[in-house]
Amino acid sequence: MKRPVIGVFGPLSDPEVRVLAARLYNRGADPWIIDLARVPDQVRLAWSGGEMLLGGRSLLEVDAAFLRRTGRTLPPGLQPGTNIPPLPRDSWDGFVAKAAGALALEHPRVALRTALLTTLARHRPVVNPPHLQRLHRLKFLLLNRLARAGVPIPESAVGVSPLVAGQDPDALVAKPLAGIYKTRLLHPEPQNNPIPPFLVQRRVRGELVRAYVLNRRVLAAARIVFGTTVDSSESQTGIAPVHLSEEAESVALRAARAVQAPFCGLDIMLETDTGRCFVIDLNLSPMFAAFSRLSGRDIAASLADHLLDLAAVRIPFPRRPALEVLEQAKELLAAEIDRNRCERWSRGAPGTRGTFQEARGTLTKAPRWPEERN
Amino acid sequence: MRIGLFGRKNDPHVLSLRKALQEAGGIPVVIDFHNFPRFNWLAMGDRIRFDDIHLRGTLDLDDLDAACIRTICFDWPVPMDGHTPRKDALDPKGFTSRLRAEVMKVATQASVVRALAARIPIINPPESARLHRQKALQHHRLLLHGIPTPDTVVTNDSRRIQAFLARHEGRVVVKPQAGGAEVVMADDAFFERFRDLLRYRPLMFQQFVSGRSFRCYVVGGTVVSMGEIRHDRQHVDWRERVQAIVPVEPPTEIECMIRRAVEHLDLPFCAIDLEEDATTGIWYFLDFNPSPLFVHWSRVTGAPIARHLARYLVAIAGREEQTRFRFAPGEA
Repeated sequence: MKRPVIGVFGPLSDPEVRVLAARLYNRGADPWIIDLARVPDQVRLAWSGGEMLLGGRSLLEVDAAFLRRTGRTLPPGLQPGTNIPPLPRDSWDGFVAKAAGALALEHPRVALRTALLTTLARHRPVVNPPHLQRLHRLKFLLLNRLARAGVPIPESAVGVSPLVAGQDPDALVAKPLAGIYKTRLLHPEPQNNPIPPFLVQRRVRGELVRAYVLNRRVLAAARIVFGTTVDSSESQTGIAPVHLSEEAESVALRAARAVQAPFCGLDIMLETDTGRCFVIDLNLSPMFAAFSRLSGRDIAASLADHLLDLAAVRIPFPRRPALEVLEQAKELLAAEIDRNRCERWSRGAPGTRGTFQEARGTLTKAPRWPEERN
Repeated sequence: MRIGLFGRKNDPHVLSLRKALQEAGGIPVVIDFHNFPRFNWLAMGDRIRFDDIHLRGTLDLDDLDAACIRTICFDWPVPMDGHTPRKDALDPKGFTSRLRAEVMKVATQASVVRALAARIPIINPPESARLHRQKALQHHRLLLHGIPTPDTVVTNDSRRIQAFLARHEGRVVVKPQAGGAEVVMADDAFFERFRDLLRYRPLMFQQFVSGRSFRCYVVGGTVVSMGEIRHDRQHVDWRERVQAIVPVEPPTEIECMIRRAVEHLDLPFCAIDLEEDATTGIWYFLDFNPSPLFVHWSRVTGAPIARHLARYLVAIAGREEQTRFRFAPGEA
């Protein structure tokens, strides 16, 4: 009996990729980890006619796929979000020339990777397909789609709009329109803000909840415990699992439906003053490994089941009995987690079960899973 | 009917189309993102409002009935105008900051166009226009639908390259996968010069077809102008080496194939480069340009491409679904 091949696009160093591959393997599937960033340095590609070969293996062997990352191969200094250290004036020209060369080289590489994934998505189910993943870098479009579907979002604008005029400086935030940098309070002095354009959004004060939606169902939700920063990721100390209110759950499901995302992670702000909830972000390739660890909700397992359901449309295969899977999952979890450290975190901040940073630290020590074949 | 024209205010193509739209009874609105967001802003709720000092007021983009994109986005960020390495040297943090700003600018423009495309007919739809920057995918789609394109392989595997070269007796060209570069012969000189390139990215090799070169302009699935390009045959790529353009009528079977190709690629308006193989007489589709230059072509051939496009835009305006091939320009 052929085992379903599930493609997992992303580097082996990514905890989400490893955990998902483990869950898939555990369920009798054949996970194929495909790191497109290794093309062409380490992996040979041949695409001719309808045949797409990666390292000699046909991409169409995949019965279903999960797209975690498309992959970048820019030198470290040019990765989005990095700052180039000050250089002596004499060496700057050389640096810019090299940078321009690297960017020019990356353009066709990105085009080719996207073309491969788009073609695969036409033939096989992909969660989430590349056209949806692009929304992560098109925040304006994402928010517009949500707004049109009646999903509450904070008032937003780009540029010096009337939204900014006469507002309390503490009431607005400057957000990136394509990821890369952190959300900041809008500074009254323009030179202290990022170079325009950026998204100006009304600041919503209250509790931040992260919710995961898979296949039109809320999988898990947790309050993000963080300090006084505007961007929660800068001062996050942990999470506290919560049950979403009926309204928040409806908003989460409507948001996922608005962008037609089979799988997503939503950031929902529950406003203290009004009790209303607003979607402030929707991530089409959310991190879930650390969240699962801390919340006790195995998102990777649900995702693996969903992928196998998609693959089963192509090749029905007998799943392992549920109990066996559960036992194996437990063993796997035990291997992945250093329990002692986990308990130590749980004694940390009240209402929390450890930090993402710490949890991600242990995940890097997780056992190795079947290597990519190419 | 309000027709949005995305492009530079002083672009001759935008000006030509603007005039043609007025003649066709439409109301053209030029939306120039070049200086965005220095002189304009976007407000977004369930509707998108655009304010520009040149528009003399706020434009509700949801009031547009159709739109045509001449130029708007880059698929990869480029440093903003007016900044040179010398200026960057004075501002070491500036390079990455401006690079980021360009990413944001491109993302905003792409968002606006995609948001509009979900509501009104846009020429060309963003997903179709993207194919111009993803040649491998474009080739794959054409193959799927039986449109004749030259034999192609995208690879960095030297054995496959050798096999491909042998199969075509060395008559192979290298094409840029994302546009922006010249098509050249994959000969010894090329491999000598770019041997290392295969370590960094796969290349697109294509069977070299040589015979007669043609370009045709298609609006709404109908060929509105076709011409034979006479050019310097010492080079593979005829761009900027055109010696003469001779208007021709497309053969019926080729016109049918063109119609099928643009329907499958979802390109209501485009220019197609074709080559008729001198040996076999087969017509090959080499490239599809979703935002072609047409002013010079119209001047040389006398074909009123702007008028055809304007009439087509007015005809499809206001329809909820993209009605790209329902109206031929003559019917508009």
